[in-house]
Amino acid sequence: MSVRAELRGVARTFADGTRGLLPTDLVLEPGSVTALLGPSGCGKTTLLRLLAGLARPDPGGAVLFDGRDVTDLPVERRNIGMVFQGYALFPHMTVARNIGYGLEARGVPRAQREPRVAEMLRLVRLEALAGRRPDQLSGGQRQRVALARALAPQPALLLLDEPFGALDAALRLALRVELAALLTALRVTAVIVTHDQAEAMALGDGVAVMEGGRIGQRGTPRDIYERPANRFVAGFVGTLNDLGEGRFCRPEALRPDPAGPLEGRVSAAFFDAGRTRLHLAAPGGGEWVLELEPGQAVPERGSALRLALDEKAVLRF
Amino acid sequence: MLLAFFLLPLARLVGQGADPALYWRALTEWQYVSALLVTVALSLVTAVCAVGLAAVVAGWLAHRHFPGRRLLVAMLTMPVALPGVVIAFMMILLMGRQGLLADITDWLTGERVVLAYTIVGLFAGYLYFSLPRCIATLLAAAEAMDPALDEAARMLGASPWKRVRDVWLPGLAPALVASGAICFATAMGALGTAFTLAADIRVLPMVIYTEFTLATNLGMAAALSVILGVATWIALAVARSFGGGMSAAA
Ligand SMILES: Nc1ncnc2c1ncn2[C@@H]1O[C@H](COP(=O)(O)OP(=O)(O)OP(=O)(O)O)[C@@H](O)[C@H]1O
Ligand SMILES: [Mg+2]
Repeated sequence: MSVRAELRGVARTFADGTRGLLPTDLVLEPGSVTALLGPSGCGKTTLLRLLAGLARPDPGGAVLFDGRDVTDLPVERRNIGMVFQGYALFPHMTVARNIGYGLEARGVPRAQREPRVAEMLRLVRLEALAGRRPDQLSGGQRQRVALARALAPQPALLLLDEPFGALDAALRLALRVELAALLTALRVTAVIVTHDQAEAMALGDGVAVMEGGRIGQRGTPRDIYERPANRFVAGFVGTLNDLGEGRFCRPEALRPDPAGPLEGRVSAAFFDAGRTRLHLAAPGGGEWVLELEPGQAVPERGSALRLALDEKAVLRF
Repeated sequence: MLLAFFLLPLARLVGQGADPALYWRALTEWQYVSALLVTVALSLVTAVCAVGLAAVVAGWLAHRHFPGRRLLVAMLTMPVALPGVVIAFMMILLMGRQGLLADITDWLTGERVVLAYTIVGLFAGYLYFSLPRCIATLLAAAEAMDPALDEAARMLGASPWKRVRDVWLPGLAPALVASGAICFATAMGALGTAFTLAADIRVLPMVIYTEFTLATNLGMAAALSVILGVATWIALAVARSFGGGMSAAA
């Protein structure tokens, strides 16, 4: 069911000359979940729309599904499910009709639609709300309707554009766990756009970090965190401490040690869920961040602190 | 003071035609009934055609960007500012005895076709008058719709027809009803256009005018005015109840 999707030299230039996406190659293995991560305006939505067929690549680019060129195949016939940034639920239709719309549009008779809609309602736990209209739902419920609507016709490829964009932090976390379980169970090829690095790390088998209209690095979440390809990726995924002379490190590479070679002045300490995050003013003028072990004494603000550095974990750019 | 300004003429009008027999005559005698029917039918057809055409234009223009779009929109909505008499005169230039249509048919068949003073001419004038308002209203409503709705329907496999039915019509419904009702009300009362164009047809504003000036039948003119006023008022009330905050509607 799930498809191997490929972008080959796909670029997108808008009418006003803006380069939304530079020529890009990308392979999505069947059943894989790829998180597309990057700051606002880096081209995530543009890439998604090119995959979906909602936008045409510049001449020379090709979109392939299972090796077949689908660049000229209209959206209606690509069998892709999409969850839009604002959900785009049909406002005058009930939850059930929204979910069944893809089947309805494909001419599936009502008798076969109903069991499938019921199954999807169960999957996203909305059985009780089947008769409501979208404006009578909470944000999290809308998100689940949008997901069920995209999944109901059994798409070969599922695209999610900031699926948790408009939700509060606690709900994001709960839905993230739900979605991860669902995607693992369904084994559908999926792309999730997000600008939240924790979300990307948690949801994607693979992460693609985008920057200024191109993909800066692709890899597993661990790869990207531990061996970032460049300064930008390293800074975008996790915290980066600048040690000077092109040397950088993650917070874990630093720990307080009276005999350590580095020294900084404590500027702030934040307590977060059992751990303390310490911010230090570095001698070079920058800022270093490290985390204290639970139970470790928190140094006073303004005091000097000597640090040991794990040389093996130093990154050079 | 202001209230008196509004209410006195109205009271006087209703008082003038207060005789129930006049209303009875207005609603039974053929010369009045036919005028009423022609007016209502013509206004309805105008409203439906104007809204239909405008919906197609607005649906096509919405969320589409190309060079010259602003100019096109400006040209399409320009006649809003023209008075009815000017539009009527333009129709005469187009379809009158010396008009473009007559020249073309003369050249093609040797016969000069004159439509300006027939119901076709009046219809064309009303349509020309109504279309720009409808386009302005519907274009604003279509632009306000979320383009992702149409895209979502496409991605779910919906054909263009299905999208028109399930996305565009429900989304534009309030604006369609509102602009249709305003077209209807405007056409019902359009004296300026009718006066210039309706040589052979009796539409209500014209009948009121002749009752009043030629037959000096003040009572009947008043009764007909009240009927026309009530019909127009109902249409506008419909427009208002559907069109809530539709700014371009009026
Ligand atoms: N229709 C358009 N015309 C011109 N430029 C556009 C158009 N759509 C997007 N862009 C530009 O292309 C670039 C990429 O846009 P895109 O929507 O893909 O960003 P994004 O990564 O999805 O951002 P966000 O996280 O804010 O959604 C941006 O600089 C944007 O301004
Ligand atoms: Mg986006």
